[in-house]
Amino acid sequence: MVAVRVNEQLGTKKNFSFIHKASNLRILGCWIVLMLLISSKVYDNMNDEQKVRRKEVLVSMCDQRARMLQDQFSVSVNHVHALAILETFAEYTARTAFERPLLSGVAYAQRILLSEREEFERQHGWTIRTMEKEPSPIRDELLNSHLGVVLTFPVYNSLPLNPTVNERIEATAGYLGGAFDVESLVENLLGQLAGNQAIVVNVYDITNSSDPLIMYGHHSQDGDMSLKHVSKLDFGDPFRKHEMICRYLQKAPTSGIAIQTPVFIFLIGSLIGYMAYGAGIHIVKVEDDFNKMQELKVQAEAADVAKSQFLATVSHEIRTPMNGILGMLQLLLDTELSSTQRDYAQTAQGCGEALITLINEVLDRAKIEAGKLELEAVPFDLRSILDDVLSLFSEKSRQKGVELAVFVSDKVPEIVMGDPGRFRQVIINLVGNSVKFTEEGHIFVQVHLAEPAKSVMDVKTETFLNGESEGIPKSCAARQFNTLSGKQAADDRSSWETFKHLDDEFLYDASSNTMNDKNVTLMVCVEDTGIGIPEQAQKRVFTPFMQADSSTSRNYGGTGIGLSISKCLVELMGGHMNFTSRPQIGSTFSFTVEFQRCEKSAVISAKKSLSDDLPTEFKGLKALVVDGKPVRAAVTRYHLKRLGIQAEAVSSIRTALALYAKYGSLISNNEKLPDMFLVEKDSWISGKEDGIMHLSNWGQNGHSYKLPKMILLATNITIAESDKANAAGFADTVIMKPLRSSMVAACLKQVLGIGRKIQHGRNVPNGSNGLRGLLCGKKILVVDDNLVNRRVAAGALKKFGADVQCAESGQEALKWLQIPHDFDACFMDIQMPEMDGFEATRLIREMESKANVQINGGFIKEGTTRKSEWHMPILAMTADVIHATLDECLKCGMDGYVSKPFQEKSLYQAVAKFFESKPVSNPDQLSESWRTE
Amino acid sequence: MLGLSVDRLRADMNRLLALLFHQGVLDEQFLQLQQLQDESSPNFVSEVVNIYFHESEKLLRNLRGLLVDKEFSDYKKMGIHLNQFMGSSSSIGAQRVRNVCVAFRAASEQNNRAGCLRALELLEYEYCYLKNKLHELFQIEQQRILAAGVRYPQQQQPNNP
Repeated sequence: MVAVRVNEQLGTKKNFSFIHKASNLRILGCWIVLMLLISSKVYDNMNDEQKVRRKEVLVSMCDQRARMLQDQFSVSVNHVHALAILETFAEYTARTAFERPLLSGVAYAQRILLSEREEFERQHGWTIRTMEKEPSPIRDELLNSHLGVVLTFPVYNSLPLNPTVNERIEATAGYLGGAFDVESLVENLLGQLAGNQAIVVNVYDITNSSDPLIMYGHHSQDGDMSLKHVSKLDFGDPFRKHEMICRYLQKAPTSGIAIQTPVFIFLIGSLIGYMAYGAGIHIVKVEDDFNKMQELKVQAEAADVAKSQFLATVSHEIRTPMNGILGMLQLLLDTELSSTQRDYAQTAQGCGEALITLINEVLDRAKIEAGKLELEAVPFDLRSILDDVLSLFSEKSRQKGVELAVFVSDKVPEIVMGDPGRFRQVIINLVGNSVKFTEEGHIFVQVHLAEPAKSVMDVKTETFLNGESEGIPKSCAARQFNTLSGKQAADDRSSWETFKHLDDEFLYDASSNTMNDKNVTLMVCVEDTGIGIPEQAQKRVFTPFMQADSSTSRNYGGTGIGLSISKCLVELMGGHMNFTSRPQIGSTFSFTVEFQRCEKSAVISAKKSLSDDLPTEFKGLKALVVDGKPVRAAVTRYHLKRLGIQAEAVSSIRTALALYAKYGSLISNNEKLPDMFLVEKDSWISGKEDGIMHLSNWGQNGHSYKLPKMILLATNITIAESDKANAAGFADTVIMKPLRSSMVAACLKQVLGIGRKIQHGRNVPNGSNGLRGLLCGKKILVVDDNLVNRRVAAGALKKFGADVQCAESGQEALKWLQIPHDFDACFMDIQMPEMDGFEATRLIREMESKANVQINGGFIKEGTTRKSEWHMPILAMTADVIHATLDECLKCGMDGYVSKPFQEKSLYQAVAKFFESKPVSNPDQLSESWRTE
Repeated sequence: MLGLSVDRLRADMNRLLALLFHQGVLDEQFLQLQQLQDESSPNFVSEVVNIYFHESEKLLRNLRGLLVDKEFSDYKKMGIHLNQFMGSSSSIGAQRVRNVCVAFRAASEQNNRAGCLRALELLEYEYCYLKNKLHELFQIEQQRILAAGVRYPQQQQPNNP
């Protein structure tokens, strides 16, 4: 059984390794043959065992019979012996005949001496006759074919010890004889034994071994000839040998168990084999399926990539004509149209714009999926980008009355390296969503450094969990939330406590540890108080084309692709995006992005070009922000700070006044008074009663010093309110929210009366006049292989009055410049086939130097006195202005270079330098040119 | 009426130009080119642009010819052609064509056949776009000139009697 199991295991293992069905079948065949062999072996074994047992039975039976036969025989012999010593033979014999069943007859032959003959004959009444005389008649008993044994014993009267033959003869009293019928003897015997039907017994006299004499049994061949047993018989006759041969009467019956067991084994084995085969087939099938699946998976992935690529390509293809359509529509709208036509056109344009936005989004998504989107790494000003985004949505938010604000932590570096476009896209998307879904309250964008923010927020949540958990629910209902607009936000983290904590943290945090890091991770939160996202929809917010529910798209429009793109973009920028949202309360999307820090020097240079040059004239001013909501005040302060204005926040007008009064008393200490009051509309309205009074009273209080400017901050303001504000003393201005630094600056300028520095239009003395003056009348050779370039250069130079000759290759230029020539300058393209600009210049210079040698050598002819020395200015024209190229130009003997395409200024610079440096070369023309100027 | 149409044509022209600038098809070099045009050379721009078209088509043909040869593409020659194309494009201020040329040249320097083919297709597309737009522009200009020309007799007619 163990072997079977091992075999089975082997079989299954093979199934693992050879996964072909055919080999499986072969293995099954082998297995069945093996089982067959095993079964037959078992059968053989069992059969042999049985044979051995049968033989043993036969031997024992045969021996038993032989022994019994012998015993019976010797009993009979003994009996005859006993008879010998008896006197009354005949009588006794007759009486004891039943004791000798095997002895068919017993006879006694008495020795009659001649002397006793007469008496004997008389006594018995008959005479003794010889055998020969009268043959005894054939008796019935002799007639049967039974073989027998005749025993004769001499009977002695008395014998001396160790008698001689003669003595024996003397002592002989007679002979006793008995005949044994072996056949009946055996027959009798066998009849007494059990199972005599089963075996055939033959008794042979084998004295003559070549021709055994059968004494009992038939000489027939019936019975099982295959098995026989021979037992020796000893009938006490030393001259004859007898033996008994036994064999089974019937052939050995085939035993049921010997057949059943192997059949059973075979069946079990085959069954096991078949099961293993089935398992193997199944495994093969599963493996096939698996392979197929994998193949399909690869195909599906390839299809996905192909899809993305296709989308990317197609979107691009669509975008280009779409731009045309939109442009044309714009043009169409600018023409005179009837109102219906205008309406149609406007609708078409609106749809077109929506379509192109969608296409752009799909393209972005496809690009991201296809892995084709590459991020830029350019320095940019994060704050100005946020301001830009704000300005995009300011109109919408103002219409809705939603407060929109941006706050960037001081810790965030001004200039970072990254992809401003993508960053802006993410912000626009999030803010756009917020604006879309928010009807009242606020939208607040915050940017912090990620690392400290995280730790602080963790601390915060802990304290929240440990300490305040009991108090919160009670106060929740009535509490004014400490957020931008006072409305509850989805994420408690942005409440004022955290906010303040964060900012303080930044102040205390030594800047050194973060500064060393090359990367800076920013955490951006966009918090709104909109409708929020239903719980069940929160899971699939980032799935493309999924919106909270179908009603969302009906009510608010949009495709729902934006968030997934934003997420992808954020991940590309090395960050994560997540959100918390509570239905009807709002959502807060937050994400981290990784930017690189800029080098210090780069920061300064980048600042100049990037920052939307905020005016610096406010530096040193002081402001007092009156706002009941600290978060909002912080935002205002942030913007003022960017302008260089020192700002302080107070919670109400009353404290502001108190502070102001304090300042008033401290004026002797040269404490600077705040230059302006920025009052939030809410705080003004809530603190109206005393506020207005005080404000209007200020003027009459007799303060001699300059009054601060009063500025009202408002998200939206009604006419009545603005009238009231004017009356209350906010005559100066109202700054409409959302606040943007540049806008605040503009308003402040207006209020404070700081005029913009007059931008002196750059005095351009090097204008076309100057150029014209320089080039007028000059003969110039333009060498360029490019016909268009040649034409344009020629056109440009001609415009300035130059006489232009063109050459399309270096060789042609050389021809033109064969000395003597009358060209004043040459513009030489560098990249030309066959002979490039460098080569041509070199050859020209060689020619010139040869000519010069001739001149200096005394061969001065009349015609050549015009020029003391041949050196024609050659200016390189090149598209790529690299210094290496310039160096090479100079090395080849060129005098300068002009970048291609011609720009008036650079052309002037190059030409002026060169013509001025050689004023003596052509005094006549030069003076002429001066005159014309 | 016709005077109005002259103005309108001029406005159309400016709008088209603005669109082209907005799309980045053209850059200020084109304006410079226009400034070069004066009474002495009234057709300077169209002349140059036509030369440009002529040359460019030749170059495009050559480039395609070079790329069609699958076994062996002469990238060096391609680079020369591209340099020419780039130079002329930047001369007339065809910014987008020029940018594509730059990409094309980069691809050809890397012996990147697929990239070259892509760039060529893009180049052809951009070129066609530019060509159509410029043709449109010239057409409008011609109409304008025609309209401006027609105006004179009309103005003179009332004077005649």
